[in-house]
Amino acid sequence: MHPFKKIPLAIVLSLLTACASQKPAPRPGSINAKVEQLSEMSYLQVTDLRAVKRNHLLTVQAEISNPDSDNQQLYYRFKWFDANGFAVGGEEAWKPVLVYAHQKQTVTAVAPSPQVTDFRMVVQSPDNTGSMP
Amino acid sequence: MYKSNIAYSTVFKTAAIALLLSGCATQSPTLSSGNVEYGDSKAVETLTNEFGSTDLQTIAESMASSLLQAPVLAAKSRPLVTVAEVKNRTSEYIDTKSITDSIRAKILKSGMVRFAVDTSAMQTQVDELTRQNQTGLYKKSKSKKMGNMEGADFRIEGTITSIVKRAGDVKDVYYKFSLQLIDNESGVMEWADEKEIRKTSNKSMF
Repeated sequence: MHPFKKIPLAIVLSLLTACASQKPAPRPGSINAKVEQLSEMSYLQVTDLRAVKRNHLLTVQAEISNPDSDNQQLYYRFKWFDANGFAVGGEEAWKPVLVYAHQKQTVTAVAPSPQVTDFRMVVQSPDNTGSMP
Repeated sequence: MYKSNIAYSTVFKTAAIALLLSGCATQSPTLSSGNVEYGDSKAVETLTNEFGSTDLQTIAESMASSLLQAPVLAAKSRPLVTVAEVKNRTSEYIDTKSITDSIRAKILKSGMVRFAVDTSAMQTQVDELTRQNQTGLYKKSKSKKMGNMEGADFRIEGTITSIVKRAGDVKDVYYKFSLQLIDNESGVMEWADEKEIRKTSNKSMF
């Protein structure tokens, strides 16, 4: 086969593999739609996420599960948005949390202002797959 | 001869591609010796187990969010609060004013609370009023009047303590930051919360 004849085939194949690696966008309102993993965590999972307004402030509670038999380190912070999607309150500090083996750890956060209507939880674990979630 | 031409052509093409690629990279707007870098001020800092930036930031965030949820603050419309002293009872130097400044900034940004000048800023406040009213330099109608300062409804005060333990190469430090909100008129403590931090370091390499 002429080498140039292989090129269209290679392009089609690469396009197909690119399509195969595309994951569907998370459903609006699902946990994945509110959680940003800097890289897919190998063991830790955000298994529950609930938000409620208390004293005019959005309060978020997340449950982090560690199904592994070793302790796992988690770093997390929240991003807060107003009704127009603008970030509110500046950047939060990264917070370290130790999640023991087979433990479900709850973390709570309160929005910095009554203008906050939406949030994202940004998480990072040193034990990650290196690929996008 | 033919082989030599091919080799020259390959080298030329490689050099051209390298030149093109390097031409694509843009210059960063920096002037650097190469030894200094800007980092993330919000990163988790674990260089040593002394009190650090992450401790200050997590204490401030935790205390501000807890205080904003205190029912006594929500019951009043934008109550006036002042910051009293946070005593440092640890064995190391900690700038507690820096912690309370961060807490105050976060609470102020919420718009739910106002702050009166604290004792450390009172002299500056008095000096400014004196300057406007007693130096004769200002128009009477434009100067801020004496005797109109507002007394704070509540004051915030607290302590930071630590327990340090060493066993061989292991050093364990436990910090406890306690904060209280006290009604200035009644003297009743209306809210209190604590933030605990544990940091352990190990000197041994194995």
